[in-house]
Amino acid sequence: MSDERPTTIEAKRVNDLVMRFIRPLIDTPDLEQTIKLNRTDTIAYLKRMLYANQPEYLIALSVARPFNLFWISRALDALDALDEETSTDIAKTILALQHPGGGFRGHVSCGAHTITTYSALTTLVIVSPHTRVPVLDLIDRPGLYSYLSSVHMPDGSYRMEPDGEIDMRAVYAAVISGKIAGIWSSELEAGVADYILSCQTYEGGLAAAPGLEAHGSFTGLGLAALDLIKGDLGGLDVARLQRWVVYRQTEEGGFNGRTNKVVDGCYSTWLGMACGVLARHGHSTITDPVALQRYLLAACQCPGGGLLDKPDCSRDAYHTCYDLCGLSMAQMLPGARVYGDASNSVGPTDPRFNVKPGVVAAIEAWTRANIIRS
Amino acid sequence: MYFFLDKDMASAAWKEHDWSDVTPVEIEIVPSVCNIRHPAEYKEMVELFAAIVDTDEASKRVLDLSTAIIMKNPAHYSAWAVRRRCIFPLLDETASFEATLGAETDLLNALLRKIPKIYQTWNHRERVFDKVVAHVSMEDPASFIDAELDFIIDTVLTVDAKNYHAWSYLHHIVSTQQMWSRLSAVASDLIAMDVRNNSAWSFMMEATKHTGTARDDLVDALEYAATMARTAPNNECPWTFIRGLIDIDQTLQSHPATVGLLAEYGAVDGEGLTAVPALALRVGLLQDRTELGPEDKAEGKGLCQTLAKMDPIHSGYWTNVEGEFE
Repeated sequence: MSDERPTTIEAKRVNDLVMRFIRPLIDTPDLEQTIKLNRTDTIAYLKRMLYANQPEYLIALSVARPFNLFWISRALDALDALDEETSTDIAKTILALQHPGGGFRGHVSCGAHTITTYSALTTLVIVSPHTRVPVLDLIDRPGLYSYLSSVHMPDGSYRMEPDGEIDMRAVYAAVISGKIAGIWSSELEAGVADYILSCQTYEGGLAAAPGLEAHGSFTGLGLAALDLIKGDLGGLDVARLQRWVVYRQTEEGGFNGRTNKVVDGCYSTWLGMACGVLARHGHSTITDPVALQRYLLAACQCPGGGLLDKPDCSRDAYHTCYDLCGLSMAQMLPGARVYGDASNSVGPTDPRFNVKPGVVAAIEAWTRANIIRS
Repeated sequence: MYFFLDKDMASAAWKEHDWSDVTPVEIEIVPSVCNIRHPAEYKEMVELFAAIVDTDEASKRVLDLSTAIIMKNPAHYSAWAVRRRCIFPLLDETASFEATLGAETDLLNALLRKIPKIYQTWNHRERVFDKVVAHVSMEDPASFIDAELDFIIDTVLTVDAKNYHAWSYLHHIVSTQQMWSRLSAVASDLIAMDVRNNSAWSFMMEATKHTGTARDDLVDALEYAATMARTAPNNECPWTFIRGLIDIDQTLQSHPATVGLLAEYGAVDGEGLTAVPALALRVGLLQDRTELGPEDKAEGKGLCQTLAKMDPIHSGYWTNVEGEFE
């Protein structure tokens, strides 16, 4: 057959690999009860990532330390494993990376950065219920406001740093940062919704920037940001978006990120956010959240703890975090039930902030009590 | 995200400079959670860099230091930013323009060959591109632009034809330089190599929107997509592309190429071939219409019922859509 092209070769390779884990569970439904989330080893793995020095080959992450801390804190919180000591250590490290000029930096040798700022602030709100010191009071809000203003573009987009790349990640990061700190304003919001809407493509999903390819990460982030600032999905072609989102669920049960690409556990967060936002506005989404959980629990668990992209990949904090968040969001979808052992329930997630609903309530309470005027 | 650079990527020029006036900044944080071990020489470099990052120094020694840091860690976004602070004035001077651009291109090419998916390197390349094409004294901007396109196409997309960063930079070049027909050519070459490459189809649509919205051009695009759909009928890409063409010109819905293709692959009566994307396109076109008569609704319901059977993973979705046609 002459159909041996990169896309078909890769699709077959991944399908063969993953279905070895999934097929027996489809053929023998009784096996479902044997599938259990390995909480103990995953918590131990995450704590090692926090307290043991990480190896030199991860040096790229040394300039994204708050992002690394977000993945670990968020995953520990999903497993109800944050305690006072760990939370305090995390908060102190994050606060040491607050830039004197506003925003947060990834490393002492760096300037402020938009995703770093987002992950620093989100990490602080995640750990804040467990710390004695009210760490949210230590955010430099005027500095943050001036940083966000400095990376806000006239077309409504945001940059990663003053001359950094422009994309949907930066837009989302700016919106969440402003909302968490209670400083989001009409000035910071100028043009943002229109920019997000301009990223919807003919396929239905959203791209990183106007004119690019529809992509699961940017779709989840764009929808979450749009929901947070507008409270509705007006201006989107919702029917086309729904179909595109639903079609990201592959035969293996998990999500891919783009048409004709292969499944990856982390997309369960990005498309889980998209599904969660659609559901918040009464729109239907994927109808097989059980198959999604089955993919994450049966094919994406590392035997020694931690979670994966797919079975032949190494574990890392990134996939451990986003697989667990995706598992949570899959369990919340309309019509869902918890797959496998009853202890696999990881509790709900707010699909806009991607934190627990209780954390969002704490953000809203703080903002009400501390109205900041720009 | 994780990578090793070869030892030969190291750069030692920064050590030749006098740094005695710079006090290294302690980079350790206490308490130290999520600490990544820094190789000894890298630690020395970033401690010096931390001392100059928030100054406005734009010197040869800072440029050499940024090179050394980037070789070890191309994700160090501030090393790239400070690098631009050093080289942009050199790119403004005609005397230093060629040599500076040559060195920058060599560095970027070497890094992107080894690590083709890193935001900071692509951002730097794009910022340098904008700076260079704005340079008034450039003798032959076309050859520079061509070299950039060749690098993306022949070096990066040849290895990974779906590299999002590479397509994004390619899009930046063709949109700022109004080279949409070049984008169309790249997309069609890559579709010829792999008809399921959705990136190529997406940028074919983007090129079409900017160049060929005359009716004849759209019909050519439609016929091209129909041919490609016949080579692999279950491949979504050309079907979605056709829906995108109909977005531009609604009358293409009744063009014989569309009608013929849907008749050939979109049958629900067991009379012809059925391909899921063909049925899905028929549903999508009904969903796009503002008013539906009883016959349209019956058609939509029938399509959804067939899709629910043919497409088990998404069957619940098709059952939901069927409800919209009540």
